[in-house]
Amino acid sequence: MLTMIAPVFVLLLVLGVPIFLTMGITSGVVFAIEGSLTPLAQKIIDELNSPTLLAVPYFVIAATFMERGGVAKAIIESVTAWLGRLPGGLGIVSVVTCAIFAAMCGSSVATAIAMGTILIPAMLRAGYKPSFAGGILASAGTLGILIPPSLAFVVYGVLADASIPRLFLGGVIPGLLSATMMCSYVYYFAKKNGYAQREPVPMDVKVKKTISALPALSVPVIVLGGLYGGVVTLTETAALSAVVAMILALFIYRGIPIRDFFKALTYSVRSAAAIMIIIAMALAFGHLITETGIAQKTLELMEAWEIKPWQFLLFVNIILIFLGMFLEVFSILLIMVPIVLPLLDPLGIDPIHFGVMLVINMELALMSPPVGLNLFVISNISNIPLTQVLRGTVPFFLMMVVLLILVTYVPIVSTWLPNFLMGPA
Amino acid sequence: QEKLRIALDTNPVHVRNKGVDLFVEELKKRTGDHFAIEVYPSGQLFRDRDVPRALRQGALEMGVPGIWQLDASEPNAALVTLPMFYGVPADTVYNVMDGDLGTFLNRKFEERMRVKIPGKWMALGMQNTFGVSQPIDYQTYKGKKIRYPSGTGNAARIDKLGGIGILVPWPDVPLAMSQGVMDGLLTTFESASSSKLMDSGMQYAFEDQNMFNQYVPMFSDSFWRKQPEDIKAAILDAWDVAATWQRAQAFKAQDHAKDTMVKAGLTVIVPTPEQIANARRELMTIQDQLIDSMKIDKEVAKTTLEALKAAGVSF
Amino acid sequence: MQNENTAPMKEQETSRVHEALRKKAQEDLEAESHAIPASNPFETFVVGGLAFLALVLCSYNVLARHFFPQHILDFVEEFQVYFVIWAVFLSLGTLTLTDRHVKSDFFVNMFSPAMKTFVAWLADILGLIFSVVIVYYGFEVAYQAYEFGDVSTTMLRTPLWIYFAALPAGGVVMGIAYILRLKRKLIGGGA
Ligand code: NA
Ligand code: NA
Repeated sequence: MLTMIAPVFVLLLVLGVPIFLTMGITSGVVFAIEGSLTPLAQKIIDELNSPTLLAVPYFVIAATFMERGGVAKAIIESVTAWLGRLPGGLGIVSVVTCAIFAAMCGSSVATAIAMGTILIPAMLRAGYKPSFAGGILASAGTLGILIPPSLAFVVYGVLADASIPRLFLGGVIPGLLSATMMCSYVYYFAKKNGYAQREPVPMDVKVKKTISALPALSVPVIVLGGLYGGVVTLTETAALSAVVAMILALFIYRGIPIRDFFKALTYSVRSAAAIMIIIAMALAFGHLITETGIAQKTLELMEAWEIKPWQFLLFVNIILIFLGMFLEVFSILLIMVPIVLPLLDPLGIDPIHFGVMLVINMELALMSPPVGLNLFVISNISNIPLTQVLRGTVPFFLMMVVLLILVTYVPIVSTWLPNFLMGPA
Repeated sequence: QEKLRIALDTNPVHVRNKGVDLFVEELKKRTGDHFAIEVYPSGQLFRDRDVPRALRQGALEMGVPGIWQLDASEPNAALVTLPMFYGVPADTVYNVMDGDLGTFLNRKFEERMRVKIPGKWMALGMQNTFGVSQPIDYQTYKGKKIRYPSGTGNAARIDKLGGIGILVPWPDVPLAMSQGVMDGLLTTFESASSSKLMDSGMQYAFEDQNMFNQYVPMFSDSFWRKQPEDIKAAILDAWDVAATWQRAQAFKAQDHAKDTMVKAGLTVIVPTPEQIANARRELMTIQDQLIDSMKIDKEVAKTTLEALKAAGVSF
Repeated sequence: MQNENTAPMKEQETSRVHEALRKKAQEDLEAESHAIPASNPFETFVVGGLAFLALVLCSYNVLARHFFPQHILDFVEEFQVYFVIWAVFLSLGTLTLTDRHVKSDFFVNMFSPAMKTFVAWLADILGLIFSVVIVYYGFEVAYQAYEFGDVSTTMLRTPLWIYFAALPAGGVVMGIAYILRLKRKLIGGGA
C-alpha cells in the first residue's frame, strides 16, 4: 500500500499541489481502497475538536496583530538607546530585538518582517553591507519559533501529544545560546570591518524610550508569566497574547486603525486556516501511518541493522535539512512527525529533546536555499537581492548547524530547563 | 486473514491494556491465525471519545471505551453515573449490574450504537476525589475547580456538591495541577499513581467513591455478524477469561497504587458512611431532573434504584 | 565604514533559479501587501465575529476564574472550539480564491509555461474533487451524528452535528472557490 502511495505523494508535492491536498488525496485514496471515506471525514473533524489545538489560530492572530501593529518600532528604539553604541550596534540590536519579539510572537516570518522593515533600512543608512544586514535579520528572525511562545512547538506538541509548556521551556536555552552566538559574530564582524560606532544616547532618552516600549515589553511577562506562573492554560495563554496584541495594535501603538479591526482579524483567521487545514490532514495521514504498521517494520529493520539512537538522530537531521531546502517549514513538520514519532519511544528518545531538535531544523529550513521563507521575506522588504541575503546568512547558518549538533547530541541543553522548572517528565 | 483492529487510549502498561492483551492471547489460542490482530494503545488510532463512531463507520473492529464516554452516544450509559450510585462500593455495583441493569445497558448499546457487547465489562476501579494543594472534603468542596474525565453525570455531581467542573486533556493534567488551574480531580488511585500525579503536587485523596469506573467491550456490528458461529463462540470464551482475570487484576492494581501513594505521603480522607449517605441524599435531589434532561429510561432508573435499596444502600 | 561596492557586479551573476524565486517571492508578498487584504463583508462579519467571540469568552473566563469564580461560564471551553473551527472552515473559500494555500512551488517555477498551466489546472481540479468529497462525506458524518443523536459529554450535551457540519460547510465554500478559479482560467486565459 505504502509503496504504491508514496510516489503519488511525492509527485503531487513536486507538482506544486497544495500540501493539504497532497496529504488529503493520498489519505483519501488509501481510505477509499480500505472501504470508505467516511472515517477520513470523521477523523479530520474529530481531531480538530481539541482545546489544545486552538492555541494555533490564537497564536497566529497574535502574530498578525503584533507584526502589523506598530509594536516593533517601540522595542527597537528602546533597545537601540541601550545597545546602539556597541560596535555593530544596530546588528546586535537586531538580534536582541528579534529575540525579544520572539518572546511575544510565535512566528518566525512575522518576527523577520516586523523587525526587518525598520532595522534593515537603518543599517543600510549606517553603511552596513546589504548582505550582512539582510543576513542578520533573515537569521535572527528564525528565533521566532525557537524562543517561546512558538507555533512550531504547538503544532509539534499536538502531533506528538507532548507537553507544549515543556517544549516551550526546552527552546529557551538553545534560543538564548543562538542569540548569543549571533551577537558575538556581529560584534566580531563589525570590529573587523571597522564599522562606525553610534553616538552615546543620554540617560533621559534611554529612560523615555524604555518607558514607551514598556507595554510591548510587558507582553512576554504577561503571557509567559501567566503560563508558568500558574494563571492560565496553554490555550488561554494563546488567547491572551492575541488579546494583548490587539490592544497594543489598536490602542497603544496604533499600527492598525480600529475600523480595520475585523478585517485584520478575518485575515489572521485565514492565515490560521492555511495551517489548520494541513494539520487536520496530517493527523489523518498520521492515522494511516499508524495503521500500516510501517513504524513497527522500520523499527524491526533498524534493529536488524543495529542502528543506534545517535545514528537515527543523525539520519533524521540529514533528511530534515534536505527537506528543509525545498519545503515550507510547517509542511516538513507535518509530514515528518507522524512518520518518525512512533520510533522515538522504542529508541528511548525524549520527545521534548526531539521537538527542540526538530524546531532548530525548521529554523535552518527558513534560511536555506533554494526555498527559504525568511530569505524571500527579507529580500523582499529590503530590496536586497536574494543571493546577497543568502550570502549574509551563511555564517549564521553554520552557527545554527553547530547549535543543532549540540542540541542533538547533548540532550540536557534542551531538557534541563523543563525538567528543572516542571519536575522530571 | 481477517483484520481485527483494537483501539485503546491508555498506555500499554495500563490495567485495561493488559486485560486486552490477555484477550488477544486467549483468542489466538482458540482461533490460531484466523485474525490479524493489532492492538493500538495510547490513542494512536482512536481516542475512546471517538471509538463509537469509528466502530459504526467500519474504521475499527473493537474498542473498550470507558462507560463515562458512552453517554455521548447512548444516554442510558449515564445510569451508572447517576447520584444513586454515589458512594456505592464496587461489589454492590456488580450485584446490581449483574441483574437486569447490565442486560438492559448492553442491549441499549447494541441497538443504538450498532455494536456487539461480548460479555462482562472490564474494571478500572473506584473513582474518588483528589485534592492538589488543599484537601477536598464536603466542607471544602465549594468553589473548588475539579477536573473530570468527561461524562455528564460527573459534571452534574461536581456542580451539585458546589465545585466547578473543568475539562483538561489528561496529558495536560500534571501542568494544570502545578499551575492551580485545577484544585482537584476525579480519578482512581491507579490512574493517579501511574501518571505520577503526586510529583505535580497532588497531596490529598477524598475517598467518596463517586462512581465505579468500568470499561465496556464492543465489536462493530458488521464485523460481528460476518463471523461464523465457532469463531463467535471463541471470541466470547476468550473475552470471558480475559475480563474475569482483568477485574481481579484491576482491584489489585488499585490497592497497590493506594498503598504506594500513601507511603509517598498521600493523605487519605475517608468520609463516614453517614456523611456519604447525606451527600447522596443531597445529590438525589437532582437525579430526576438529570434523568429527564438526558432522556434516560425512567423505568430502568426506578428498578435500579429499587435494586440498590434492596442491596442495602441508604437513601 | 565601508559599503559593498562590488554589489552590482555580483548581482549580474545571480542565477536564473534565484531570480525566478525572487520574482515569485515578490509577487507573493505583493499579493499579501502590508495593507490588510480585503475580505467580503459576510466573511468579515461571520469569521471575524466567531473568532472575536471565542477570544472574548476565553478571556472572560480567565478573569472570572481569578476574580469571581462563581461566574465562570462552563460552556466556553467547549464552544470556543466550535466557534474557531467553524471560522477556520469558513475561511477556506477566500483562502483558496486568493491562492494562499501552502505549497511547494520550487519545481513548478522551473517548468515551461505550458507545463505550468497544466499543473495549475491539475491542482485546481484535484482541489475541486477533494472539496466535493469533503462535502459529501462531511455531510454524512454530520448526518450520522444527527441521526444517532451524538452529543458532547459535558453538562451542555451539545448535539455534535452542529460542530461536525463545519466540515461540509468548509467544503462548500472551498468548492465554490475552486469553481471560480477554474472559470477564471477558462475565461481569463490562465490568470
Ligand atoms: Na516565539
Ligand atoms: Na529552505
